[in-house]
Amino acid sequence: MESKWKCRKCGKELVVKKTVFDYLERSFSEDLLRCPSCGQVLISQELADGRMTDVESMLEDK
Amino acid sequence: MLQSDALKFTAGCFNGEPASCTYACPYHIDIRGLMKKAARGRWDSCYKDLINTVAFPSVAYTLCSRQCQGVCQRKYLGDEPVAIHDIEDACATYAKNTSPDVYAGALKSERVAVIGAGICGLSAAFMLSQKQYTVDIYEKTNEIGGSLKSHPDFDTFAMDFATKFKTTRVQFHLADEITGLNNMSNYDAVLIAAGKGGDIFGVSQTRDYYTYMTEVKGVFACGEMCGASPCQAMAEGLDVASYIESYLLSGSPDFGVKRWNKTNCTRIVDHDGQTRVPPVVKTGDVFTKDEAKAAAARCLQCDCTACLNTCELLRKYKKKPHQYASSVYLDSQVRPPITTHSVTRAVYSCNMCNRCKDACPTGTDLPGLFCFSRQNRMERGDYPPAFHDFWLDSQRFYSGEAAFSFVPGESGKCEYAFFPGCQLGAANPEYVIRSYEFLQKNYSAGIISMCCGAPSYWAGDKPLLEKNTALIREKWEEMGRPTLVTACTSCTKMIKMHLPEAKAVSLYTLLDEKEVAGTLSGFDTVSVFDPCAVYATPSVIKSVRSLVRRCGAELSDYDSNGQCCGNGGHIRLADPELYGDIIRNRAADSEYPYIVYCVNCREIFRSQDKSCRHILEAVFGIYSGDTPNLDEKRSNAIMAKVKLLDKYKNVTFTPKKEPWDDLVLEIPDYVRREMEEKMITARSIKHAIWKAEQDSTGFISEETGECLCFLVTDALTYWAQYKKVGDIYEVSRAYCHRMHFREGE
Repeated sequence: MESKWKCRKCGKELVVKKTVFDYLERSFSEDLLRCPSCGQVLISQELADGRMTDVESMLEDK
Repeated sequence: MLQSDALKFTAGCFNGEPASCTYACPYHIDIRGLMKKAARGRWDSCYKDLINTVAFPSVAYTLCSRQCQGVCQRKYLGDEPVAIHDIEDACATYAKNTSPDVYAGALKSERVAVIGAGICGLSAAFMLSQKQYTVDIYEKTNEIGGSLKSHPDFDTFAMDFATKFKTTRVQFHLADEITGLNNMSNYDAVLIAAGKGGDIFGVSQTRDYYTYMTEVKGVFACGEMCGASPCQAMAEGLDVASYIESYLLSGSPDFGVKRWNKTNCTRIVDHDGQTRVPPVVKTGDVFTKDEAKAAAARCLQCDCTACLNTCELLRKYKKKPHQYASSVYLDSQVRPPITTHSVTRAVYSCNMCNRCKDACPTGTDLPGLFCFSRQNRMERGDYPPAFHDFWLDSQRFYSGEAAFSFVPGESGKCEYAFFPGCQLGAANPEYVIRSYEFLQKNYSAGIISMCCGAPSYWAGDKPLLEKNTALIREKWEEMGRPTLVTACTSCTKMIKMHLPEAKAVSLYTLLDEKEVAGTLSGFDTVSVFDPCAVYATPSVIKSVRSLVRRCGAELSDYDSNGQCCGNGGHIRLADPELYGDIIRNRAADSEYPYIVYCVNCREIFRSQDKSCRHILEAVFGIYSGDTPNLDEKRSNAIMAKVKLLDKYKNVTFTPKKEPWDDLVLEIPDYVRREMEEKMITARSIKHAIWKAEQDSTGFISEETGECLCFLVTDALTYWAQYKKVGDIYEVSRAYCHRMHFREGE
């Protein structure tokens, strides 16, 4: 997973790291690009409009 | 929530109840189901159903007097009844397998004795043996069949008996006369079906009317011995098997057994769209397969589907009213991590237009049920906040910063108060300004401009709704309880529901009374699309048509018939697919341009490129052009407030300003379209960018100089990709998601 983005605050290249999500009282984790220093998480539009929307929809139907 | 709290909304629904023919049938055969299968030529399956209901199909349809055909609802179309009897005969003829199902399981420990091998005793014995009970039949003669032995078709019956009992484990004790019940103590239940003039062994014939259990526990008596005809005796034999089983299982003969307490369905459902179909002529003694299929296809499948016929939501989710009520209750009892909710999406996809309720012959209230569920979920905090957050936030704005009220002059009291609702001014300030000018000129009129509370009602947010209603009531009382003049039919509905003490009149009624005339130049024939909330309010519907005619347009005979344009219930974010279907369907309903009197309807039809005008555009000669975007709507509402306060109260209103409001964004059209679709405001994007610029947070691309930032709110996380060029922020992407990620973990 390569990215053109760097953390604006820390100036560091992003790394793939486990990220915990919460939605409708459920939690799960996924490997996403994050700043290795401050932990800031990057969500791309492709992810938000694609898989995240699908999972949100699934959880809303639960 | 109690189960009864949910079930009461659908208590009157009779969908799924047996049809008239099943009630009339002495054996209560599911004729509707049978005809459905027969129409597809599923003879084996039909026959299996007949065995499971009547044990011996040939006997059943020979003995019965075709009461089912007498009540067939085809007669309400002036038609011949469905030839049910002949179709059953065809099923028996064409079924390849006429044997009953064989169950390999172990016999149950309970034993039943049947005294008499007539049709009653045989029917009961067969049914009980299929339930795996040990059954012994005692017959004093050396033949089975009882009174049927003298029937001309007895040979056929005898074949039927032989086929059915071949695979059962019933023990026949022929030429074994029972002389008393003393020897029956090793049986758990006894059925006395000794035939006409048979011995009842001193047990009183006073039996339970439904269950046939005598005064002696576990001893049942029925059939010709008790005065039944052979047909009734067979029906009683089939029935008593259920009561005996219930007795063996629970100690009570009628625990959970359906009681057939009437012989005819008293409900006559509409058969809209059905036409007369001539009966199929039998070319031989029995229908051919094709004849039987065609004859069965004439069945109207009588069942009430009035609500389903009116509503895209009910058709999409395919559940029946009782199922919705049960699911609403069940969903309220469980937490998502434990089990699965089953109706969340449907609950939040209802337009609340009440059309299904109006169409229902018993007033089944599905919108009420869904509204109740939304309230209950909101109270428990068990709902997807993103479904309604946008509109709840809007309500806070329109009843907060954008709200205003005044009475011109010093008295502070008025006879009428214009209640334009939040979206009228948001769509175009001129709608509010010109309407108020009209009212001012003709009446003693003040104005109360705020949200009616529909968003909180539709979201199920009761506390916010009550707070909003209290605000309206406070202003209304301050003004001396004036008649509220509404321009939005949803406002009228909300006022009637939540502020019933206030009198409300439609702006369009007043405009019509004063014979205001405008112009609809360019439109020859138009269709009036009545908003769903005005359904069953004939005076308003009439006034708008009168205004349209006075504006010089011809009216088509189109009737929107209480259908919602799609906006009602705020379903757009909960079910975008259904919302899309509804708005496309409504836009295509009439070939003529629409005249509407709800700005939400206008916005929806314009989004579908449907030629459409708001009646106020025609009456006041306002040109509204394109629908304002989400941000322009708020500015429009503020503009109406600024102008009216200035003109009538000489007050200068200065809108509140957030630090990010001054940011200048450049948003390409394709990004703006995506934002509108997802209901992302430029205000949220400005906030996200401002925060990122303040804290130097987010991400940066050294290649392009672009930044990517985010803003977390209660319901959504907004993302913006932008590049700062001078003082302008060029936005190249704007998106959001509903899940929250944990930062720093």
